Amino acid sequence: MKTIAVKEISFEELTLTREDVIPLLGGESDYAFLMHEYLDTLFELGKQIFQIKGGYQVFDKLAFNQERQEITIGDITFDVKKVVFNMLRRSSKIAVFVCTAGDQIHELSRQYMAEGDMLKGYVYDLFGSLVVESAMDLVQNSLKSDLNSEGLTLTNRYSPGYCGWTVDQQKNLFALFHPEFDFVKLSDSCLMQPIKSVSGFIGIGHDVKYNDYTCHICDSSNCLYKNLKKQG
Amino acid sequence: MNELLEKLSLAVESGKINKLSPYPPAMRGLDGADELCQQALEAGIKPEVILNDALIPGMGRIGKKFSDGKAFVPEMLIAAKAMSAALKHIKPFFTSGEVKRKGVFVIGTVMGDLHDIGKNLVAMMIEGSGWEVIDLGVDVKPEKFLEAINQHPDCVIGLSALLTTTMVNMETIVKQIRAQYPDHKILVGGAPLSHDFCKKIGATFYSSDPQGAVEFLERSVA
Ligand code: B1M
Repeated sequence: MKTIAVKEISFEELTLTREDVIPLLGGESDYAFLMHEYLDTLFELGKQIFQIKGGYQVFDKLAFNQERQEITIGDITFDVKKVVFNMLRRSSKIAVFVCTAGDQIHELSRQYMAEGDMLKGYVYDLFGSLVVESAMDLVQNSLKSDLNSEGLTLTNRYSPGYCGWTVDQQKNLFALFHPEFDFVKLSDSCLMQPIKSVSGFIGIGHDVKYNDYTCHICDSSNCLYKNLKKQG
Repeated sequence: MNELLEKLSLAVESGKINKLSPYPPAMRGLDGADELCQQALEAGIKPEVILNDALIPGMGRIGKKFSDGKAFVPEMLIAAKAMSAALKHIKPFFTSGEVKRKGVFVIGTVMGDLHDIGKNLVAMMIEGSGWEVIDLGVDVKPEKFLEAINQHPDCVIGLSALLTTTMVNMETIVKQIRAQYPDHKILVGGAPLSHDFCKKIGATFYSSDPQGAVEFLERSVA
């Protein structure tokens, strides 16, 4: 298993489809044709717009403190709280990941909004969010296939800012990274730049579980995806 | 209500921008907000009446639908496009002073945060409800808000943030505003916020969505 893997991903490699995007824009409603027009452009120009890069670093020096719900990786301790602790506690290794869709999509979205085209700006912004998540799926899949030969499995991805694990722990997470990961920067206020970036942990082990549906463990009351799933 | 105003209000709510716009399919070929607003002015209806009886209620209805989970963001944004097409005809009357706005709303994403989609949506809906909106952008420091209050003493301040690590900067901003203007109206919002947090930092009101923000402003001028 590679301990560090960083990869540039081309837009064409993503499995993202229109069917993933349209429901978040209101589904096949009577204005869907307008959304499809934007998506035509985005899928056509995706290759030029996105600078996708992602990777993970695998750590095996782990300690789990059940009482405090803390995970220590090397000499850095994470107060991950109950839900994330329970999902990761059987891991023998943890892959710390980061992935970005690049800056340009955010800049384009802002430009359209500044020009008064809020709708286009919004669709571009949402698309950028889905691109980074889809890219991270690829990163996770490549980790998965790397591990299969060793009979190891993966957990879902868990990120600071979800399930009680606070965003300020991003500082600890970024402190773990090898310099190769500096394609995403973390600000003093724990904001990743480019904006369209995600970070977190994936548990690895012989006895860890991947759940197809994880919304029930998350306490977010205003999640775009959760509300959608409730409607669906 | 006057039939023309009713049509205009519906055009805004439904996002019918102008005659040529293909959306909504059911209104294809009909006049949109652009033409109807022009016609209303030509018919001698006062711009203030057009604004208050047709445009603002049209935006209000779509805002309410969004707030109730009955409309998606794009529908609100399409309606906003129709609203701007109509407002283009009303804007000269703002400049001449014939039509007065309800007040000035100054909004910004707080320092340390660069998220602006939510802030932009709120700004747009508040503008559509008859307020002059001054958008200070993202990563806005307390001094900028103080400067805005100096220039517009009666303005309402709006603060937006998307992460818990940046939402704490609201507290600094509110404190600095309160030190000089203890009773100033400050509205806060953004995904990780709550009523409790708003109370804790001493802001005036928290709204989880644009419609709540609009309603708060309505109450503040009533
Ligand atoms: C002045 O008065 C007012 C009144 C109302 C106001 C207002 C001001 N300002 C806003 N409002 C309100 O009205 C607007 C319209 O309804 C709303 O504005 P919003 O800006 O909230 O809404 C937009 C119109 C649409 N909403 C959005 O665009 C955000 C949607 C959600 C699902 C979301 C997305 C899409 C993303 N994210 Co992330 N993301 C979430 C979001 C959960 C959610 N449902 O909000 C949130 C914001 N994210 C979160 C997190 C944690 C993160 N995200 C991250 C990444 C991402 C993506 C890249 C995948 C993607 C894009 C991010 C972006 N903004 O571009 C990371 C940070 C990114 C960074 N750059 O640092 C990361 C830190 C996760 C990680 N470790 O990777 C959470 C923050 C919670 C917290 N504890 O701080 C989060 C609330 C999800 C959750 N856990 O529930 C209201 O809040």
